[in-house]
Amino acid sequence: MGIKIKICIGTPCHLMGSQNLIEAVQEFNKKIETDIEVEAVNCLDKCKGAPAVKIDDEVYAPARPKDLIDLIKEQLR
Amino acid sequence: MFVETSVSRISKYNEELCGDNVEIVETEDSKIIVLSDGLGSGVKANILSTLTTKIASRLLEKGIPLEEVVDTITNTLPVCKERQLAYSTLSILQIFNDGRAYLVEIDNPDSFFIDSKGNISKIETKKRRVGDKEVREARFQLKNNEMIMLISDGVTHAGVGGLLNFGLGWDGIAEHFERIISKYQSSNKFAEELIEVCNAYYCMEPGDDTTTVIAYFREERELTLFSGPPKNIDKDKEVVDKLISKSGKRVIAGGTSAQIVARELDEELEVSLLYHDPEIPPTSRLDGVDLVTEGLLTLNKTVERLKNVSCQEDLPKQRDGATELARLLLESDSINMLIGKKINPAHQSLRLPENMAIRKQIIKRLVDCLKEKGKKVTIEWF
Repeated sequence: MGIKIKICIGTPCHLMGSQNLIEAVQEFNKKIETDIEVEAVNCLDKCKGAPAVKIDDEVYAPARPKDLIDLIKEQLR
Repeated sequence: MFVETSVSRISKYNEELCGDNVEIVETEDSKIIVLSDGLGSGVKANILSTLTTKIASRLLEKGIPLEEVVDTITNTLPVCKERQLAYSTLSILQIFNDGRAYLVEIDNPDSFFIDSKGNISKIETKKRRVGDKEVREARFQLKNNEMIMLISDGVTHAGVGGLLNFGLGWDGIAEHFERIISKYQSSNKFAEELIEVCNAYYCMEPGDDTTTVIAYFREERELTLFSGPPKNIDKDKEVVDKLISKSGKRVIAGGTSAQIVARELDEELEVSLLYHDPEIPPTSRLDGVDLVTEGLLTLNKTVERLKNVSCQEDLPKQRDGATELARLLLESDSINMLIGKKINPAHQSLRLPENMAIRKQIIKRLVDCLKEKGKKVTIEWF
């Protein structure tokens, strides 16, 4: 089953490392043959919980790339 | 139509002050450019040329005839004790908004006419006497993308005492200038590069004050920048309408602002991940808008970029949001800003320095910087 990930690149999210999250997911996508759709978006309206990442319909705040990958792995299980 | 003016100069070797002076005055329907080269060099020359340009530009601005201007200058300049002379050269160029041009030269080298294809020629002038001075005069019509370059004799003499016996001369300068204009776009860069060439021929020790002024007659370039959501959501549509109705380039700086425009225009906003820069967030794409960037960080970086350069050619080669925005701003003459007053509480909790985090402060720094570069800036707050 594929999952949709939206990563916010707004100011607070950028400062909290959203670019690293994007790169981590792209790398992860290359390594494992999964059906992950990644999209960078301008604002998820969760500025206080930066960096904001929406996986399917749920918004998370993974502090490190590893946390995001763990979240994805959990969703894929 | 618009007249872009650029000045570049170097002082005689070991002199702190330049003996050439340039004064640019804007009247309601024209731009007047006055270039003067004072006798000798250093302080004395600087005083003579400053007086000459100031007197000439102010009198011409008030519509005083040339004869009176020349007469006033020759009778007012302080006399040099050693040489018993009060002397400075003078070039005056007045370009009206409809392209009519009036050129007067007194003892300065012939000015350069550059057509829209980059071909250089001399301007045909008529000689007449005003008092004891021989005045070369011309009236002509400029077309879109044509240029006039005024120079002091330090330019045509480039190389004397350095690489050449008799200097580059008018033709030598024209040859170098043709090569320069085929490489760059802004008159600022043209002027800077030409002075660099002269300096090189002087072996970095100029034998005279060397000055060039370029007047570039072209269409005015406008840019509208929308940044920050309006305080009142009811104003969203009005701001977007204003942004879209303006001619020229359109830029949005701010994620929420971009989302407002996308919503109002019913267009898709797409983030483009073309680069990874920890300091500058990615840009986005939106139909009908030339550039969409993040707000706070990008605007701060844009001010930094603008402060470091004088023309777009000197910007770094990378295509990040701040560099692209700085490029568009440098290319524009008239900048309209549509700035929203809504405060993003999340920005306040980032603990950034006040002058970085508050929109009003960033915009003020950006406007100051643009005005310093001769841009016309208007701001509307929402």
